[in-house]
Amino acid sequence: MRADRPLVAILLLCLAQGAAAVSRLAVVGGTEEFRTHFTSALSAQLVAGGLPAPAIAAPRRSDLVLALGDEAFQEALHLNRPVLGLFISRNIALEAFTAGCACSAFFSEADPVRQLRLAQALFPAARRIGLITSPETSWVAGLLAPYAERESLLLVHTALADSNALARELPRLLPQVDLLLAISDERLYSEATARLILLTSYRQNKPVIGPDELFVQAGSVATSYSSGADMVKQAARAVLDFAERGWLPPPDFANVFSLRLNSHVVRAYDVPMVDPDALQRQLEAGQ
Amino acid sequence: MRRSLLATLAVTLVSPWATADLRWPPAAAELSDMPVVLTPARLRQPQTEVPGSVTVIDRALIEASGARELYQLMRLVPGMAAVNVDGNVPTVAYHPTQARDTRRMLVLVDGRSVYQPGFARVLWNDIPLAIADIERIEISRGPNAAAYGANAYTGIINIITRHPADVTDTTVAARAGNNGVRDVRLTDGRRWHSGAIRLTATQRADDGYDARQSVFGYPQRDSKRIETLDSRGIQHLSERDTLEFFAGGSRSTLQRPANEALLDFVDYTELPREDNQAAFLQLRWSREISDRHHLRVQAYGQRSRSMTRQQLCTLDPVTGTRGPGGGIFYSREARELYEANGRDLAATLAGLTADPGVAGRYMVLASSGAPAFCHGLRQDIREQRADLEIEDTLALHDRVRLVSGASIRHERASSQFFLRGTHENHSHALFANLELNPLDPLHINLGGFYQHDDINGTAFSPRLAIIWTPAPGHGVRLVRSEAVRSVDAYEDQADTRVYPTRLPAAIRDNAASLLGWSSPELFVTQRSEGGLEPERILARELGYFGRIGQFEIDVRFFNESLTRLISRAVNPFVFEARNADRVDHRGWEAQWGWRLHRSHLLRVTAARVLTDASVRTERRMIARNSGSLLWRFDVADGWLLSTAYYLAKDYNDFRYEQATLQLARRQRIGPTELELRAVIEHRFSDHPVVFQENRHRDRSLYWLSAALSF
Repeated sequence: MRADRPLVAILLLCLAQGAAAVSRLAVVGGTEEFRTHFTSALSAQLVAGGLPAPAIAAPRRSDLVLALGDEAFQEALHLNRPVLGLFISRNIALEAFTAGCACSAFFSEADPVRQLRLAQALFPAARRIGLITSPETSWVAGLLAPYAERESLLLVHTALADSNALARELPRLLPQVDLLLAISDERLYSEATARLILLTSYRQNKPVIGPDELFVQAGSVATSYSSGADMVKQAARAVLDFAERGWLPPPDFANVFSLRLNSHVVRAYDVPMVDPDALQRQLEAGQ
Repeated sequence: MRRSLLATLAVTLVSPWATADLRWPPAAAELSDMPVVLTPARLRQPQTEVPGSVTVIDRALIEASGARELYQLMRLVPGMAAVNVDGNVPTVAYHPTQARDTRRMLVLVDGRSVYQPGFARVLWNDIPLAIADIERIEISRGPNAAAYGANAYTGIINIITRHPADVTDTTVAARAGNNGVRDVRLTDGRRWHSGAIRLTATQRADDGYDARQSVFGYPQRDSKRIETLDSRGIQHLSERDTLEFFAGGSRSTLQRPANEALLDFVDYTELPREDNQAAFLQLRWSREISDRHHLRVQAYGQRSRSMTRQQLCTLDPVTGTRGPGGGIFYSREARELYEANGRDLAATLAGLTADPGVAGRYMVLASSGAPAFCHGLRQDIREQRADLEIEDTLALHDRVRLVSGASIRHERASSQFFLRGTHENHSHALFANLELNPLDPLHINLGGFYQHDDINGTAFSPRLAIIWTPAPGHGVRLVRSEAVRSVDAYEDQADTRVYPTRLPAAIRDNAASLLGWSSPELFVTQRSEGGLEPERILARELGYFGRIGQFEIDVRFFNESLTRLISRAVNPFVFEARNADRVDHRGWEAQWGWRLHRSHLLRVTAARVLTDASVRTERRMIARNSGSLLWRFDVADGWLLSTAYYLAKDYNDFRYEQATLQLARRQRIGPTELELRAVIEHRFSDHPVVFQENRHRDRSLYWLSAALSF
């Protein structure tokens, strides 16, 4: 648990005390193909972690339900079984958690603090960080502020109602900052706005970090993200903990992650540090 | 936790295939409509790989500089001189040579050359561009004709204006200060679904050097008033096609000093006033053929007109006062004597009254009963250019990029005063630059620009650059480049005709009998013998650019050899155009930027240039030691404090030392933003700027400005 997340700290809840049997797991959500691959990989991880290979059971008869995605997570909450949500929107996960569910979750969003650390590692000279949020993601500013203060970064925050104001506010924000930290927010960062955001930032020579793999593929510099394989590892750790101690960790960002860098954009911005392995180690070490 | 062999084996065997396709959300990439916006990144050249030294002045620096006029921003460039040399006329030159030299550097605004080759000059006052509309300025230090063609001689200033989509407000701004500073600006930005437009109108005025001293016996007059209109629009025709248009113009009125060459025999009744007008229209179509291939076609036309008017009386050479005898200087006999003296002005003036033919003509004039020989003089210049260019940028491979293209251009220069008519010049060019990255740390840049025009014939400007990037963010470059400065229409075709206007009717109607010819001219005339060749430069450079943490540094060691220079006087009174001189520069320069804190930016430049020249005038503007220091402090939300210091030792034996202090406050008031700014420019030296007459009454100039955006 991180000290800079008071909400999460307050909401820490033990689902059960002592060791819990995890002989029957249920995996719900996602496509069938994804689920199959996910389950296989998870089983292997659990076996590698010393747990007997759990049986895959129907959700209502399982010891723990792993729910992939928001929809599956919300449905699983009605099963009266412990639920571990994976790739869950932070708002949905916290809402369920504060309502007293026997659940936990790893968020689908990349950890904004880790994204900021990634930005620092790639652009050490950048001291003024641009941040745009919608009402649904305004919490990010509060989350980043203590870290930014500690690192002597200036967080220039613009709150927008929706993406309609982007075209007007983005050109106003960019001259005041050294880079734009794009956060997971479908209202602001989507297929519809990617072109506007990336072209405007190129024009003003301001790199964009985040928010996800697709945006990096589209033209932002880099992002950290949790792939399915990362989430397998993350889930395996949680299940092993659950089996050993009988409780799930509180909802949080996944701390098993991958990096995606766009080599063309990295080169265009003359990024001085580009060894992804070293970068990954640096970010992992700081978690 | 104990791990069994079986478990380890299971992970080893299962994980790779099981996790390989674990993409979340499933099939996201395949189903996504996310556009790929990689063309700018793929085709952009990182600064470490640029085959030359580049200074970038971005908006943060522009704002921190407190500059009021465009040319002042160039003081932030190491090795660059940017001062008002001729009263209100700026000289901006990299590794400058002559004091009024704006002919050896190319200046582009959004890809349009504002270098006027008819008379080889850049009229900085008349560039229709507000500082607030500049996105950034990229200055290539050193010849870059391989990419930009002739006249990219000592360097290139490439000004990129703000994209219309980035100007979303309407801004009204006003500025006032001592020294007659009175500026206003109106900027409006509009955008629609598939395009945007920005429009700016400005007016600025000041009193120039205001020491109120006498120059050649006349009061110093160098105030100016300039009006500009500038627009840039963009329309996205499709996902891949973009059409941009740029249009604008300017109108300026400059007070000019008395002409020293005329003072031996005239008495001014109205000192010179220069009126300039300029207009341009530019269209640019860009097509992203793929994210590795970009095509751009650009066409522009521009025209400018300059007229300098003055009123004077030509003095009687015998009495030294106003009288009809002054007309002798406009007589046929005086011209014949001048020609007989081999166009020696001093010898002609000395022998004027002793020449029998001239003496006879003088008697006719003196006894004619005509009024004093008072009249006007007009120096007219018109220049036009039409240019069409196609440029293709192709990433052939991740390690090979080719920029190639062609252009055709038509230029026309007209002047009754300087050319006795109109001269045209047609040119065409082919260019290619190949960037190779054969090994990770090695970049090779091979380029050339072939150009042919009517005046200068054929020229080829090659460049070879080898750049070693030992680590990302660090580049060591070795560059050898050549360039030419084209002979201009005036140097090639000069045929001066100083003719009087607004003569008294009694003289004008009887010119043939009183002056010996019906279309009288001043006895002084100059004619180019032609046959000049372009000036050449060969530059060798060893440079380094690197980023280390919050530091960014660029160092350049150079050796530049300028040859076949046309250095001697080229004006209506003395015309010595010959490819006879040379200049050699060697030295080093550095620029260093440090974002030392989130609120502090520090930037330092320094240059040391050792110059050897065959004629002293070519050394006049080069400062052996020069530099600048800029500090920007974003004090708190909306407050800005910045200061800059500039030093040059010396310009024409005069030390230039000046500092600027700026305090600004930006405040949002609902949907509007108010910006207040106070700037003080202070000179530390009592020395004049370049020439004795360039002095200010006060050591400090100041101005206050307010801008409201809504």
